[in-house]
Amino acid sequence: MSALQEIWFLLLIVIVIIYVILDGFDLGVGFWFIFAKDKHQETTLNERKEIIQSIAPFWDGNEVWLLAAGGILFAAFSDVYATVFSAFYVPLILVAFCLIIRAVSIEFREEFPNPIWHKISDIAFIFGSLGPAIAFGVLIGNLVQDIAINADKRFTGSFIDHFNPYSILIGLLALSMIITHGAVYLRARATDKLAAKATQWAKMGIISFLAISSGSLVISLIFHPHIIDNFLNMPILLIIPLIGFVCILFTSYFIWNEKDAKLTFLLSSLSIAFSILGAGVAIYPNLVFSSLDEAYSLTIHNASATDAGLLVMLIVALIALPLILVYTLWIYKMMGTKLKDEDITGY
Amino acid sequence: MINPTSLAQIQFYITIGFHFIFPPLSIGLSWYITYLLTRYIRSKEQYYKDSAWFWIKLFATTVAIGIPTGVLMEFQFGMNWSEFSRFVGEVFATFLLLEVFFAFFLESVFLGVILSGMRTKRISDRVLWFSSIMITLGTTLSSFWILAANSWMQTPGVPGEPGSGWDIVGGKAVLTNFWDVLFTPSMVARFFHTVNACLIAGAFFIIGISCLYLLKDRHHKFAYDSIKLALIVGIILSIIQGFFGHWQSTIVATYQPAKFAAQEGLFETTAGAPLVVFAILDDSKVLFEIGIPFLLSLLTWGDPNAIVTGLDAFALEDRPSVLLTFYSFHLMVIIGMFLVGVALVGVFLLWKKSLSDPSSKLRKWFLRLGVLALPLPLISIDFGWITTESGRQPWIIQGILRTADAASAAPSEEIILSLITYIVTYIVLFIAWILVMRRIFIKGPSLYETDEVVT
Repeated sequence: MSALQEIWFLLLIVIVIIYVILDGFDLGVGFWFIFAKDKHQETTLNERKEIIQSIAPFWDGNEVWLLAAGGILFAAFSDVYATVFSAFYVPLILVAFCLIIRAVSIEFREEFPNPIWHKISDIAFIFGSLGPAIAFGVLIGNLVQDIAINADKRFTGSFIDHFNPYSILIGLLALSMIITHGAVYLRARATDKLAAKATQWAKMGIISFLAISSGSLVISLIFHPHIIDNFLNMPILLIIPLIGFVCILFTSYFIWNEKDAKLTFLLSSLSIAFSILGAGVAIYPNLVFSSLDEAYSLTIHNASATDAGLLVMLIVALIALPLILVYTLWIYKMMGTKLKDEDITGY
Repeated sequence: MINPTSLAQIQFYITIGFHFIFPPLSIGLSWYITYLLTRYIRSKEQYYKDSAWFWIKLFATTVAIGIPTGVLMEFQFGMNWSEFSRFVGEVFATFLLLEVFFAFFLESVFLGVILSGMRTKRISDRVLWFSSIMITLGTTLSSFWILAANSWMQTPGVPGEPGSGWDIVGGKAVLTNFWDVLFTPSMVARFFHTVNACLIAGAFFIIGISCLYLLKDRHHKFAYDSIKLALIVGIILSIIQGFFGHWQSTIVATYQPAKFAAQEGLFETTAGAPLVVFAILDDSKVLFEIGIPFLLSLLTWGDPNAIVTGLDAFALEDRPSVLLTFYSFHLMVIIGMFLVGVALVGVFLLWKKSLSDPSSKLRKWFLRLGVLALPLPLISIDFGWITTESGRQPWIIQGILRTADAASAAPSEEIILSLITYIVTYIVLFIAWILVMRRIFIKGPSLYETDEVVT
């Protein structure tokens, strides 16, 4: 047990938060893409093109945060990385496949002015965006409950185990979270016409999120009461889910009353941040619970690299992360201005 | 049914082999794009910006496939090679983390800036130029970190000994000195050899595209300017590549003698060993070979009578596949030498001013050759990679961990399922890549201001 393990656990949570906030919106818009009008149906509007264009400068950089989270697991908690990635073989193949077809659909969509290609590309974008969200939700759902891990830290179950009612519920929770976030993003970034539509989408999104999240909270407390242990031991930590709850309420209020779009996006991001932080507190110090024996669970203490290694990685992260955050914020400030009709070019 | 380890190996060869087509091109092209934008910033001539935009579009098409197929790699270590991952995480993945932090972010964030900025025309020239430098830095650093990780797998040294930088504690690799692990004996040579190969791939890509334009009688100035620079850079780099290759080979001979024996097709330890230039052989014997006497000993150890270790010095279970290693190594070298020849002819025609003279008979012949040579460096790079990986077998980390002990316990069905998914996806991706590049080629450069649709 060392402070470095706690620091890396916190850093992992922070990176996951940044990933979900950033990639969350660009994956989330994929859902509303289904309802957006394409030029083949209506000549004046080109909403699908606009949606793609709204995320175009950012989606690629956002996805790298996933690699950062994966890299941290691999380097700092290699047992968790090895066990989880081999245990979730099938869902992760799906994720990789989705990310590949999605990247190609975004970059190549406008390259062929062919309606059939547009159809294929659009389907790839929709599946490619929603697939990872659901798959990651299912994965988290399994990690919050427990999977069959033996004394050797190996997974002994089968991939059918992953698809249980609880994990599917968490998959839907993740989906509702990012589609709301995506609509909120479009409201802030898109042209006035599309932003008005996105306002309605955000309302639908937030209703689904409130319903699914309160449902999964109740079910989690009933079936997985261990998630409350850390909060009972240290009640001050309850402040985190409490702030998360307040942020969600404010986000809902802002969406419902069509308040300032940028502030809504900030609130939505904070809701995500505090929800994930709360979940992190709930599972600490475990990363994966074992269903076979509590002692077999993978924790930040029994699955981590040595202090020497963690220290090297920490130095690397402390040099890199401020730099990355600075230029990422700079890019968002420069490229993230609200779109106007004349901006919608031939992306 | 094939055993899961072999399946995982096949999957690894196919997924990386495919992925590895794209990064070399992005490295090569990013350097050239930065060069063009630097010219543009200095001269303010729109011509350079238009040229850069043409290559940026081809670059982006390449990266669009290179990045997501690379994401899969990070997943695959854990999915298929979980025992390897469990063992090496602290050492190996520290380099992956460095690659994410100091390469992927730069590449991805600034590619978004350039593409969106150019398309919406809302980006200042200086930001454009700066972004291209950041992308070039990103692509090049990316190769640095991943080659550091690979070099450690090739020449890890002896764990626990001073200078190796790592140890085995509780059945796991642990880091004791970062710099020693970063600069293992094969790292520097491998980096120069590989990055140089990537730049050569970029040069021949530019030569190939320019030759196509000249053959089709389009964009003369653009094509001529491009081919001129690419030929000069190409000839210099491909000659230097011979020296880098030799440098790396002597390191292989010193630290991985089994791989060296396999790549040279040397079954018996020999004094005054010949350099085999052609052979028909399999994993156990040579059926026919043509060699230059004493040359291997001379090249490797600087003495024509020096002893070169053959495969007989290694137990059967410690030998790599000679078939795979020998042929991929020799194909790499043959392609490399062929490319030197192509560049030499090109430079000669350039010097004789025949390239700009449509009446020259040699010109047309060379232009076709230039198009033919376009994919060759990429194929050569893949062969080089196969040489280095298959020559290390049966080890995944030379002398430390066997490949057979590194795989996950994933059932064969899951691997087969994913393998089929990838093969089908990759074929579609490859076709899409070619088609998009073809469209960009047909549109041609200097259409930046009027990005009209060409069907």
